[in-house]
Amino acid sequence: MKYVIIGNSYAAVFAVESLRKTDKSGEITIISKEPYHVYARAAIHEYMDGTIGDAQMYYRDKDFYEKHRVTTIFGRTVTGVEPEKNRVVLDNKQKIDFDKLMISSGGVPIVPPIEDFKGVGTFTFTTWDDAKVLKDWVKKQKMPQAVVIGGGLIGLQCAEGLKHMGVDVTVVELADYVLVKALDSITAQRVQQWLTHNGLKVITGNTVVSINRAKGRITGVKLKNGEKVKCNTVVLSIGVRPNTSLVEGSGIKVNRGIMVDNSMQTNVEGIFSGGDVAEAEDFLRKKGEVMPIIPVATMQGKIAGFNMAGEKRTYPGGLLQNAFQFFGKSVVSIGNVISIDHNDGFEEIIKDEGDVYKKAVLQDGKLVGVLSMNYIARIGIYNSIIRSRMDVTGIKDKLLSDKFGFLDLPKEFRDEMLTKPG
Amino acid sequence: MLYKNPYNNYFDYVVQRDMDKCIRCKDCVTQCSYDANFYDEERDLIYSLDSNCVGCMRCSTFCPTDCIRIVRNPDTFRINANWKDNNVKDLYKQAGTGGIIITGMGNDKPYKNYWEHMVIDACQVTNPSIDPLREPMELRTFLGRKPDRLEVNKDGDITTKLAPQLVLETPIMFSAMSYGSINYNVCESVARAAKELGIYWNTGEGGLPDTLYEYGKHTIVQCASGRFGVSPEYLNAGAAIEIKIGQGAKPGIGGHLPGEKVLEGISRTRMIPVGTDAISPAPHHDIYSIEDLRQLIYALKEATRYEKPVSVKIAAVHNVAAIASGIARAGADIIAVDGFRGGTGAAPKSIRDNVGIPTEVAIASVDQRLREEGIRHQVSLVAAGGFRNSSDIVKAIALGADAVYIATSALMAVGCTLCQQCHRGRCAWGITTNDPELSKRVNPEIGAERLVNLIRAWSNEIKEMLGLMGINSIESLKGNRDRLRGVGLSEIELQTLDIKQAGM
Amino acid sequence: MTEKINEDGMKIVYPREQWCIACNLCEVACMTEHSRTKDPLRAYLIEKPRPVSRTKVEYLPPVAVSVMCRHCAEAECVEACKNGTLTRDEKTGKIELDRDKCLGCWMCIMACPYGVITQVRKEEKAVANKCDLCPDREIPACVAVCPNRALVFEDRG
Repeated sequence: MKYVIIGNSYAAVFAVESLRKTDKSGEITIISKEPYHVYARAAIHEYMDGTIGDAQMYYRDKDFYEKHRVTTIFGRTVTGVEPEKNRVVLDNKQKIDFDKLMISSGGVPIVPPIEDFKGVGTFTFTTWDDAKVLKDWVKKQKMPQAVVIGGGLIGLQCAEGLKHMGVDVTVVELADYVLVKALDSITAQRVQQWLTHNGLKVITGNTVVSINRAKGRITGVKLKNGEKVKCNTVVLSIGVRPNTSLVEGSGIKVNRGIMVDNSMQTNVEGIFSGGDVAEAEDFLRKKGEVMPIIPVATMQGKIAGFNMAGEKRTYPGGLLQNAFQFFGKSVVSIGNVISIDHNDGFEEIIKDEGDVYKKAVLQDGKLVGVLSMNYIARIGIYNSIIRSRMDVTGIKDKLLSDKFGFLDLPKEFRDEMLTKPG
Repeated sequence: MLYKNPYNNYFDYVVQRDMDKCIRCKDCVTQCSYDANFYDEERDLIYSLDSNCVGCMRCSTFCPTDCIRIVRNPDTFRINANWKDNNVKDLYKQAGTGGIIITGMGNDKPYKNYWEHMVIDACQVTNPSIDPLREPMELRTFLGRKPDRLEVNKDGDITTKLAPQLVLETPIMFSAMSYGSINYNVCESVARAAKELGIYWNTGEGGLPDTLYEYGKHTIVQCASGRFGVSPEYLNAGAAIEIKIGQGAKPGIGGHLPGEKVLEGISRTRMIPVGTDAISPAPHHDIYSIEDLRQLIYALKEATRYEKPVSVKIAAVHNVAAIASGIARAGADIIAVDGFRGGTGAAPKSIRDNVGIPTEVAIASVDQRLREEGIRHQVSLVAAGGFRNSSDIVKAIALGADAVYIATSALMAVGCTLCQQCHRGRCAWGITTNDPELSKRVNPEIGAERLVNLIRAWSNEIKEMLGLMGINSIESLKGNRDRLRGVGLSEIELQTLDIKQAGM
Repeated sequence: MTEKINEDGMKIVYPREQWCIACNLCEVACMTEHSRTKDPLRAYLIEKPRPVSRTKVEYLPPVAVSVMCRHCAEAECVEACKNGTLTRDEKTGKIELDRDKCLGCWMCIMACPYGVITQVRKEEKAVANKCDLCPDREIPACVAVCPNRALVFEDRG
């Protein structure tokens, strides 16, 4: 059996690991355009500002590919998939045959129509190389001033990293507040205040329309409202979109991402997908969704791997989850914490005391989301509650207590959780 | 500390805490069931309300850094040989409450303890001692009526029809403690241990919980004046039936399980509504004579097809020998005599400490009387009330007991520290409480193990003592008073115990 | 929950809630076992940073239960970990945590459905902290110390 995996990140690693659990002998080939041993893509901002070194960047041990007997083809891009011929085509026209294919080609940065967004001084921020290039560039600047376009998670993480490196940073976000996809307006504003408090400049409700240059070097950017911001560095980070170009014309169905069923298989038998490129079922909304977060990518990779190797597994649906920190303050969001329509059976419970803000979102008596700022102890328990779909009406009052735990939950649920192998 | 009547604010113990060793683990706080230990979050300090401390040592033994000492309150009334500390405090208490002082466990007053005035004989030169590690040593004991004569056919088989017997692998049984006075977990501990040891436990007057019927073959089911939990199934579930007339800790009075202790399981087992007081009358209202007792004995035998021995338990009182003789003649197979050091879940202190006699003398006089009347073989004699170790047991058997009952020692094996608060239902060791949080402090797995350990240890010691006396069977020790000598006893005491003075 | 298969079978610590008496000794033992000095007094009073227990006694009278890492066959923490700090040792089945590698991103705390990953200080920063089944001991410290067998070290796989 020949397995080919496109991509070399979180989903790919889990696919390899579960493939090998089930199929000890099949051939596994990983094709990745990046020349690196699998690394922690989500930690590039910490690499950039020197918080961590190479050792902490590698996601798996040096012998990962050997141990799992994986052939790697690095530095090559897959340009086409030919399902009827069971092969993929590389940028060097090389063709690789497969029996089962996993497409985990990730996302590509969205590049907006900004005038003159190219050349010296402009950067994207999704890969290790991006971080390295940006790091080198910033170090060479006498007075590094950067504008980060996009106040999403990666943009802000990049901005914080730059700040730690002594860069004067301005974040420009089109929406009314930062982290618009992950947080509600209250927490978003608090995060924003905290960022400002730590010396970041944050401009919201605005965007960059053009980049000003003098003698080829960036001198600043012009915003939609006509305002100008001085800088010599522009980082573009308004998000990523599924990297689906390689399946164009292949017959593999794409909506926003590559559409997969609950076995992570695409509409073409034998071809699977997972990670940031895939569109799989959302646990709460029960419809297809691209969820570019690590736990979803790894779970999809795992399910895909098992199913590719012939061990039937069902994807339980993805649940949005995120944990992040800015300048030492942490925020965790799980499930559906925004876009609430009160007519739709939604209810919010909020605990706002001092530094700590906690919110639980209920829909028809069931927990669907939790947001917490500056308090993360045991927060993962809410995952189990959301996944269980239990009715929490009776424990609403206790739900956000610092002492909340298994003892507040029904005994049957607790026994199921605590007395059986995890 | 505030809002207390100073006239009543005399207390016995002080919790000393070495704050240099306190790691704020709050173990002492969660373990104290009398609200004596507190944690103050704001000051990050643990402190104690000494007046609530009962001296049960739960906190000090659980403290992982040994930073707690429970010490006697150094507060001292003016020394007075007549007005001892407890006389004074009890008086104040009653002046404050107007109530009878209730307490738990057995008589704790310094009456002469005859076990400590008897010593055991040993073989030297003229008669060889026996090494129990090399030679068989028989502790198996049969309780029940023995025939007047035994007939054997030519094949050596016994042809006499024998009365039903209880077979004990060692002459120790767990004495009556009711489900309710102790909780289910303790009952289960005792039942499991009895089964493993090949001995018997006794339900007391609390009935037998459905889930403990599996231990029936090792259970003595009691029928007391309140008749709680008595049914045909119950009587037939046990290996023997015991009619409880009296109890050593409170001879002549009944029992009272307060309604708040009567929870679901106890209600079902006792067959009374939840929350109602379970009152056992002082006498059985159908027993006013030996003849009445005989009627009950035979009613119970009838109900169990004469397959089970019937025991009658009485408190050791002044004319115990004559009463025992009557009981034997009434048809009992076993007589249990409970001395005044026997425990209780609740008794008026004035009664516990002043009524009844020591089991040592009671056993001696009962055995003596039954022998004199030639009916000793018709009935087995079980001594109860304050057995602390294997030598007490050896001495009791030498004085004439067939076996002994232990209960206080058994509870101690499970954790009891003799704090005497049983009546309050808040036992910090999880024994004499039905509170769900406290009850789980006794895990029957551990409780049973510890009980088995204790009885095995004592049995081994008994074997050692038999061996040094040159005896290889417990049967040969029974009533063998020549193996005992008295030390520091008056002539009349020696006479009562029917033993010789040491040196003679 | 994801479908779980613990194909190897392994011993982990299970709480037996019916016997938990909220004495907190498991927490003290855990803290002590994972201290430098292995002395509860020093661990609590002197050591900087103070070790943090990896088990948590929940107490809601009359019920109490001590909860620690389940070493899941397919662990959510491993799946959420950004940089491979958390991994499953396929030989032992243990979920291993490499403190030197930990970024302190708390994805694991967010993901763990049992809420059993805590934070502990390591030099200047905080890193994740969880049950390691006491590699230096035959029986984990919490199980050994439990006075009421409310924690057992068993293979229920």
